[in-house]
Amino acid sequence: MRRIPLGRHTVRLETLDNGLEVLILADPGSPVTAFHTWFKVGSRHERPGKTGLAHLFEHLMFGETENLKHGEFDRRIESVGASMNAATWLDWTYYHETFLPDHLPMMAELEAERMARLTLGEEQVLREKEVVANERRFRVENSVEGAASELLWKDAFRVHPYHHPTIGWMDDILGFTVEDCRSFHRTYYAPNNAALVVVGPVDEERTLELFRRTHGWMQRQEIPAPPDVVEPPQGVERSQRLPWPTPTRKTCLAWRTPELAHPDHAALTVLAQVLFGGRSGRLQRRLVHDGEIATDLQGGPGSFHDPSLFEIWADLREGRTHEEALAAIDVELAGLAATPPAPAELETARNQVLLGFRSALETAAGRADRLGFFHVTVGDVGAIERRQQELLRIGAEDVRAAARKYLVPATRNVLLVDPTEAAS
Amino acid sequence: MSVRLFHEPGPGLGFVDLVLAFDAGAESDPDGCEGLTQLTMRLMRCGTAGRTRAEVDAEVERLGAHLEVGAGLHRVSIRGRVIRENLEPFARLMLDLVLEPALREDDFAQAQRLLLAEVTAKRDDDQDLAGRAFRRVLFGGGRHGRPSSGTAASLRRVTRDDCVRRHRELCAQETLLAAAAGDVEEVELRRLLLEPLAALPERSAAVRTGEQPTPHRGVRVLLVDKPERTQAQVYLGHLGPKPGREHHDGLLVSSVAFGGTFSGRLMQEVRVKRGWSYGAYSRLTRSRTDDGWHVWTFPAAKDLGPCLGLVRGMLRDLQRDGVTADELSFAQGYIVGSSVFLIDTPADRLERRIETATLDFPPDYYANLRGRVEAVTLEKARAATRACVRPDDLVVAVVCTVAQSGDAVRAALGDGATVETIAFDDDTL
Repeated sequence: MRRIPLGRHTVRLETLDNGLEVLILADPGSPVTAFHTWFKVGSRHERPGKTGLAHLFEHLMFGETENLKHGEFDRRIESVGASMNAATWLDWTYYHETFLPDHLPMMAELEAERMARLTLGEEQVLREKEVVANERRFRVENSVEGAASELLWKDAFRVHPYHHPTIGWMDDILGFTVEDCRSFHRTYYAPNNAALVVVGPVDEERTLELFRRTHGWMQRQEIPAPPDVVEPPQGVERSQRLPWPTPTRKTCLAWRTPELAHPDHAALTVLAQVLFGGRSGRLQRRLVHDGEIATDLQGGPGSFHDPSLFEIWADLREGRTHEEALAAIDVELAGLAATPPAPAELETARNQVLLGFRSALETAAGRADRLGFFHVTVGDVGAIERRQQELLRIGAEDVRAAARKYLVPATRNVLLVDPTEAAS
Repeated sequence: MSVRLFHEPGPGLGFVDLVLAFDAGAESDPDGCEGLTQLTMRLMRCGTAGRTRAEVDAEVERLGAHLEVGAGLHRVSIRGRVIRENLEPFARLMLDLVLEPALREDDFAQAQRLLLAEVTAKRDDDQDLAGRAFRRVLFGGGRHGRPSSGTAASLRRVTRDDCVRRHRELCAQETLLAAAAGDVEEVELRRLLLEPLAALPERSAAVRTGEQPTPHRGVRVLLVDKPERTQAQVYLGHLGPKPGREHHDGLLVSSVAFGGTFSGRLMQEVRVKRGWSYGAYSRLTRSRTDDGWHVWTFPAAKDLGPCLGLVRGMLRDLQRDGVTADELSFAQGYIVGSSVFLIDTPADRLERRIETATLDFPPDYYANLRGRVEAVTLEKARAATRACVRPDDLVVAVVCTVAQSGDAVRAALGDGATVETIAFDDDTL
């Protein structure tokens, strides 16, 4: 058993005999309870030809089980007004419910039921593949942001599994079989590959006893090691263009940057605040508010288990060109590499870190989200507090060093979205 | 006369939410100048008598805060969240933006250009396009169907003098509501907010239009034509009763049973049984007047026609038969259980109070939600759907590639439907 401080609270971490990890944050003042089930499997664990399986499986988890007919899982949870959903990303998949505190035993039983006793049939898999194909149309094929992001990552990673999108390639989605899904379930949805997170007005001992009863009987499994692939260094700039029915150009850039647990990640996060934060960030001013080149600008490092991308997305104004946007970005990046941020910029970054940290812990669901995410991505809930302290300690020279080391013109990935003739 | 003050304490959170809301909104923008109120609010945050726009932006963020301004149909607000340590200077800054905004000509021109660019950029968002098209037809060109941010055509007509006038009209004690949630005591709030706000004029020149939307007859379709769509965005519905009106509670409960949840009837038929769309939901919009009750779904282009036909058939069934006893019981449990999320945090509780006050909801609308929902009997629910659901008087807005999908829409909705088409980048949308 470990106790880990988190803001005003303390988190208790226990590991059951079957390897299932349990994180409990008892907060007597919370009007609701948040209950999350995190699995240490995401699209990073997939192989070519079978992309999108982790995400398709997330959909299938809302289906039939040995003791619940189709639709009963959702119906029972929604009948008490619980908020529920799930998400899959590069490194993880999680299922979450938030509800009035009395309902925790029912939620634990339902989650245990689908974790261990899911039944998968032809018809169900066929239907869900079509739903996921529609989700892909929604998020990628009919969304310029989705399409651009997919192309950028595909080109930036040539061998690492971050190359493929979490939702999967369309051909792969439509090609999955029932056996693919069953095998995935057997392999990854084991207690020793999962963590339960509870935040709310709960009693720790009674909650642990509940989970021992609902989940403690499950058998541990042999979990395959994730692909051990290191993306080779990128020596030259990569560039591509995407025609799209959009009224304005979009300029997208990306550089490979380290994983969330890496010591340089905090400096890159502060660097992102200096460049993109609010309306006063350097690039916000130059591109959006003073230069009037872009309407919207976003950027920052990815927060993943493996090295990922530091991305910039600029939605340009009508008539403005990629060359103008790229030149403005080059000037600001060169400026940051040459001259460290001013004390006022660092003060801004520190205060924004505090605001973000406190806001993230506002609700029971927010706290459960932070706990699960850090536990699964970094392997340590204590990293939440440590990271905040690291962010507050970052100095001007750290930011300059990160700019020089990572945001190098020769290793960037460029994607330029141009309006098609029909839409221009 | 004094400014109303709402306070929701949240000791220990480490931050404070501040809101200054005026219960006058974009509905009173003059015809042809839609977006005036939105632009006025944008201009207000572009500097004070003693600070430039850049200085305001830098100060907000240095204080560990974020600040937003916005104009809805019936209210406008300036709101922010700040770390507890910097509450006092942040409150002073917010007050300065309301009491002493610079409203400079060059800031106006820049704010106007940015808002125009944002309106253009919004054309990338098919769901937003469908929602705007739906309201445009639903309110038949009336004030409630106009986008609060204006259109490219209307925004170009607004001048800085219009904004100066609008600021004078809006900012008065009569229409102002000062509100805070989080790590702050009421006595401190009174000192920080109420005393300075006494400098505002007592009476507001901003008038509510009092315009009430009128129900339309027949099926009216607006196709928003956009190239290369493999998926359509669909809004389909008509007016529904506002809070406090007859049948509001019955329709609210029936709507949740029909399409308010993942396991509701709509989602089961459209997504689970047929896989036609990633989602299918129904929703009753709460506002100061009657507003939309709509179904939102987004089928693949190939399934658009059958999906429209299915949904319309389901509306006929709902009107004729209403919800079942099981569905009613489920919806009541869902609404009662989920109502905790409406008041989960101090910020949520504050928002409910602001909403109730500025949108003229019955004072106990949220406090008594549980009692009213549980009082909806099967007879009341069915009376509500019989009276309110009108499958033959529908507004349908569809974003699609018309050359590919237009005929399917026409075939699904029948010969009696009035069908118009507008380009997705039309300056008036």
